[in-house]
Amino acid sequence: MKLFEHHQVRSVTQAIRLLERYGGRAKLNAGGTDLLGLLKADVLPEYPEAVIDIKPIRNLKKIKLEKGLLKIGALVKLADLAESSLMRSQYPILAEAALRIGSPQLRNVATIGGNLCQDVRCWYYRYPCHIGGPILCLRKGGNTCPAVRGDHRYHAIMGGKGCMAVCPSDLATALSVYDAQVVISGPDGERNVLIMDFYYPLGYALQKNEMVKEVFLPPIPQSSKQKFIKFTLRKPIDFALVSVACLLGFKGDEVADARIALGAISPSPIRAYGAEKRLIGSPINETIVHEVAEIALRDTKPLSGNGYKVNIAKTLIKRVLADLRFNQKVDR
Amino acid sequence: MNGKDDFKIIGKPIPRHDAWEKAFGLTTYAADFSLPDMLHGKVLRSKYPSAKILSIDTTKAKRLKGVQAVLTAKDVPRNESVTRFGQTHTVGGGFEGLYRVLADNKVHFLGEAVALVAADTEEIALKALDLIKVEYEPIPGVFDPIEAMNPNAPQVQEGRSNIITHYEVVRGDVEKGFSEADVVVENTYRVQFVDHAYMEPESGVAWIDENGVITIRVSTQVIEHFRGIADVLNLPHNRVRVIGTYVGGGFGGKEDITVEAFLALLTYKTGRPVKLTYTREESILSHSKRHPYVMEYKTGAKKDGRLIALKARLVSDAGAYVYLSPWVLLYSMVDAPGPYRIPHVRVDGYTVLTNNTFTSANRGFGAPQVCFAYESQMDELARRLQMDPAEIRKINYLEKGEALATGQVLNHLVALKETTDQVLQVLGEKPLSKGKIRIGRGIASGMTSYGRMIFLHDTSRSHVSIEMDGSVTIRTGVQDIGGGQASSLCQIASEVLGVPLDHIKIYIADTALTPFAGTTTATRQLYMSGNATLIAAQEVRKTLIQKAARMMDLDPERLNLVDREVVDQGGSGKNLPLTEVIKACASDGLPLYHVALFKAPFRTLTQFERIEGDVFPDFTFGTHGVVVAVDEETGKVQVLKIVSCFDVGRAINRLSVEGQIEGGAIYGMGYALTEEVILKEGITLTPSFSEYLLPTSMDLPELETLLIESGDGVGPFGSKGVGEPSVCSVAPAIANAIYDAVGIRINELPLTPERILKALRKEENDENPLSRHR
Repeated sequence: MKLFEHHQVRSVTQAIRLLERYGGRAKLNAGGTDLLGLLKADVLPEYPEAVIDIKPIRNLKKIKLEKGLLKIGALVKLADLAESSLMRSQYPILAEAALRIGSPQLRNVATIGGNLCQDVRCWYYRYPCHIGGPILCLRKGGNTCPAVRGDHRYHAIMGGKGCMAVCPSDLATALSVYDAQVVISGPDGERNVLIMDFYYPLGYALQKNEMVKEVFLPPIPQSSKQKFIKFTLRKPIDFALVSVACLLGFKGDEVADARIALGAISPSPIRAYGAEKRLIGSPINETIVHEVAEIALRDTKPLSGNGYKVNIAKTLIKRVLADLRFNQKVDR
Repeated sequence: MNGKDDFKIIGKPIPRHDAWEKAFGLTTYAADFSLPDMLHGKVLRSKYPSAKILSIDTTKAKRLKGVQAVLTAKDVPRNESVTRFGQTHTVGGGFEGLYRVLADNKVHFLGEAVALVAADTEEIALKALDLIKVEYEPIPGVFDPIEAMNPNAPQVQEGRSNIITHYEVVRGDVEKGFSEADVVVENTYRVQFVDHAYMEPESGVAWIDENGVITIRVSTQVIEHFRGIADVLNLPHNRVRVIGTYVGGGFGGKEDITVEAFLALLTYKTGRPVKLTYTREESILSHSKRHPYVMEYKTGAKKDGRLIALKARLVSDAGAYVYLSPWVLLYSMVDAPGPYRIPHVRVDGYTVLTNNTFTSANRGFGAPQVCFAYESQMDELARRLQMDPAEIRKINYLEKGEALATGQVLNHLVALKETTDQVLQVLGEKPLSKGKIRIGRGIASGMTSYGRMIFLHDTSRSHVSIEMDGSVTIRTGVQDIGGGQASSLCQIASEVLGVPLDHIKIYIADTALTPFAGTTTATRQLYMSGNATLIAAQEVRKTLIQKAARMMDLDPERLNLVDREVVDQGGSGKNLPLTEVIKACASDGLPLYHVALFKAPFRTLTQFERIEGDVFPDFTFGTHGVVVAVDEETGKVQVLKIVSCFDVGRAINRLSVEGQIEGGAIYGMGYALTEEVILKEGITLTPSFSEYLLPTSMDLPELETLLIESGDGVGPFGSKGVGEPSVCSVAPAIANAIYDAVGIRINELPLTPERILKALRKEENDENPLSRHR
C-alpha cells in the first residue's frame, strides 16, 4: 500500500468538507472491505491522497421506520441487515441478499453504503498495478473496453455503454425491487436518487464532494411474496453471476403487483418492467412464466462468450416465479 | 522384527507432533520470522509477456532514501545456470532446464523478474519499484502451445526451438491393433492452468551468519537448491545454507526455486538480513502453474470390452521456461494408457514453450491430466459397448507381474479391482433425481508413481541417535510441507526403538546440519526418508539388542524393545530398562547413532526420445467414486459425495493418510469444477482469490475414505505414497458422473455451467433424438 493521509470524521458535514478539500483525490472508508483491496493492488486510476474514515459517524448506523418509510443508514452493516427481524419479515429480499454476500467476517464489517459504492469486479479493471498493470480501459483513460474482445464470461449481457463491467452490488438488485431511493449528501444539502439511476456507465450518481448518507424504502404492498436468488459458482463468498429479486402481490390467483429486478447482467440493476406488466392480471402458470422470462431478457445483447448468462437469468426468473406461486397462499 | 499386526505405533491414528502448535498459530512460518536491522525485498516484474528490454535505469530508485540495493541482471554473478531440482546426478539429454535469475535483454512472460530492490521498509521498496525505468519494445509472442509448435511461430527463448521435448512410448503395432478393434473412441481433451493456491505464499528471510555463510530460512520443498543458489553467487556450495521452515502448503509450487536466489543476492550485496514475501497476486502471476494439456486420444476395444489399441498425442504448455516440463511430460507418457492392459500402444508427447506463465510441478505431476483423458475414454467405451463402467475397467486392469506399455513390469500388487468394488459398495444406490436437478454417479481409477524417476539416482539419508536417558533424536534433511513428513519418521523410530513418541525429537531441513534427504516432491519422502530412518533406527536397535543379549545372557532373537525396556519374548520374564543398556553401550564406546543412506533403484538413461523400461520405483493405485447433482437449466454441478479408495500399502499414520486423501479429493474437485488460471494473450485474469475460485469449506461434499493395506509397497513397512495419487482420478470421476446425470460429455476442464449449458443446448438442437444416448 502506498502512503496516504488519514482522517477520521464524526459527522457527514465533516466528511463532505474533507471531500471538497481533496477535490476527488480522497476516498471514503466505511467498512474498508473493498477499499483496502483496491489500495493494496493499486487498482484505482489515481491513488487517493487521503482516506476518510467515516466509521465514527454515529447517526448513520440505524435502521428505522419513519412514517412508513424504512430508513437505513449508510453505515448499517450487512450482518445487521441480514439478521434484523424487521428486514426478514418485511424486506426479506434485502435480508437474503445481505446474507449471501461474502463471508461472516466480511458481513460484520461491510456496510450498505459501501456495498452500493463498491468498485466493479471486472478482471481487466482489477488487474494489479504492480505486475504488468494497469490494463488500460475506459475507466482508466483507455479508449476501449478490453473485455469486449477478451474474456468476458462474467460481463454485461445488456446495458453496457462502452464499459462492460456489471454492477457488483447484490443490495442494489434487492433495493431495486423496493424502488428504494439513495439519499446523497453534498455541500448544498441532500438529494435523492432512485437506486436504478444510481449507477452510471463509468461510476455513480455521486459528485466528487458527495457521499451516500442513507437509503430509504417506500412501504411495500400488503401481503406480498418476495424472493431473491443469486447464482454463483461456489456456495459462499462469490459475487453474483446472475441474481434475481422478485416481489409479487396477489389478488386471488391473479398477480396484482409484480416487480422483478435482475442483477449482475448490466452496469446497473435492471428492472424488468415489460415482464412485470405481462404478469399483472394473470395467474401464474407455466406458459406465463416462460413468456415472462423471455420478455425480461428480450433486450439482452450478450457478447460472444457470455450468452449462457441469458439462459441462467431466464431460469432464475422461472424458478423465482414458480417458487412464489407455490407459496402464494401462505401469508393470506 | 514385528509381526504384521503387531505394531504399537505404526498404523495408529496419532495426532501429529506439530498439529497443536499449528492450530494455536505458534508455528513460525517463513514470513513470521524477522531479524533486527532487516531489509525488505521486492521484485520488479515485466509488464509484457514478450518484449525486448532496451534499457533499465535504476538511478532514481537507488537515490531514494532508505533504498539499500537495486539489482538487475548485470549485478548477478551468474545469471544463467542449469537447474537440477535438488538432484546431484546429471541426467543430460535436455532434461535439466535453464534457470535465469533476472531477465536481461528480453522478457518471456508477464511477471518475469527484471530487478530486485532491498529497502528499509516495504513501502520504500515498493516506491523504489515505481522509480525503476525499464524501456521495453514489445515483440510478438505466442500463447498457444499448438501454434507455438509451428516453425514460423515467434521463438520464445532465443536460440532454441519452442518444442522442448518429444517423447514416444511404443508397444506392438497400433495400426494393426485398431484394425482388430470392434469399437474405436476418439476424443480431444483439454485441461487448464491451475495454481497451487497454498495458504502461505512464497517467502523467506536471508542473512549472513557469524561465519560468513549466507543463510536462507525459506518455505521450500527443496532445501538442496542451496547448490544452485551458491552457483548464482559464484560461491562455494558450503557458503550457502538453506533452512527449511514448516511449509504452509507446497503442492509442487515450492519445488522450483522461489525467493531463495533473490534473497541471497540482496543479502550478499547489502550485508544485511532481508525478507521477501510474495503477494498473492505475485504468486499467481509469476510463479509456476500446472501444465495445461491438449490430449488427442483414440482407443480401440474388442466387443467383449478388452482394450486392444491406444494412440495418443499429448501437447503440454510449458510456459516461457523449461523448468520441470520434460519431467512432467515423462510422467504423463508413462501414465497415458492408464492402469490397463493394452497390447498396441503409441503415445507421442510434446512439451512446448509459449509466452505464458511458466508451468512446472503441481500435485500429481502430469498424472491427473492424462487420467482425465483415459478415464473419460473408458466410460465412452463402456457406453458404446453397453457395458457397465466398472465391468469394462475390471476386464482391463493390469495385475501384478504384467508390464506397462513402456515395458516396466509391475512387481507389486495392483489392487484396482478391490478399490473399485469398495468404492461402489460405499457409493451405494444412486439417489433419485428431482425435477431439473439430475443425479449422476461416476467412477474413475488412476495410477500415480511415487518416488522419483529412477534415472535421477535418488538417495536419502537419516541420522538416528539415542541419548543417555533413552530419548531419541532424528536428524534428516526432510522438508515438512504439511503432509506429516516429519511426524511419520518419528513414528517409525518410535516403533523400532520401543520409545514413546513424546521422547522423540526430530530436526529437519537444514543443509548445514541435517543429512541430505532429497526433495519433498514426487510423493517420495515416506518412501525414501522413511526407509532411511527405518534402517538407521534398526541399526541402533541392533546395537542395543546385542548388548542387552550379552547383559541378559539371552539369544538376541528373543529380545524386543517395548516401552523403554528390553523385554524377553521367550518367556523368561526377564527385562532390562533401556537406559541400563544405553549406559553399557556408551561405556563400551559403541555407536548409539546411525546415519543410513537409502538408495532408490538406479538406472542410466541412454536415449531420451523413446521411453522404455523401468522409469519409477513403484505406483499407487486407487479409485474415486462420486455422486453429483447437475442442474439442467443452469449447468451448475454440485458434488454430493466423493468416495476414495487407495491401496496405501500400509498406513503409517492413519489420520495423516486419510487427511492426504481427503485433501486430494478436494484438490481434484477444484480442478474439475472451478479452478482455472485464465490467461489471455499472456495476461493472467485471475490474479487473486476473488477470481481464482477455490472450493471453500462450504463447498465440501460428503467424503468417505477407504484404505486397503496390502503391505506390498516399497516404502517402510510395505507402505506406498498417497500425497499425489489422491488427486489423480477425481476430475474424470466427476465428468463421468455428469454424463450419467445428463447424458453429455465435456472434454474440457473445468466443467463450468457455461460448458455444460452449451453442451446441453447442442444436444437439444440436434435433430437426431437418439444422439444424446448414442
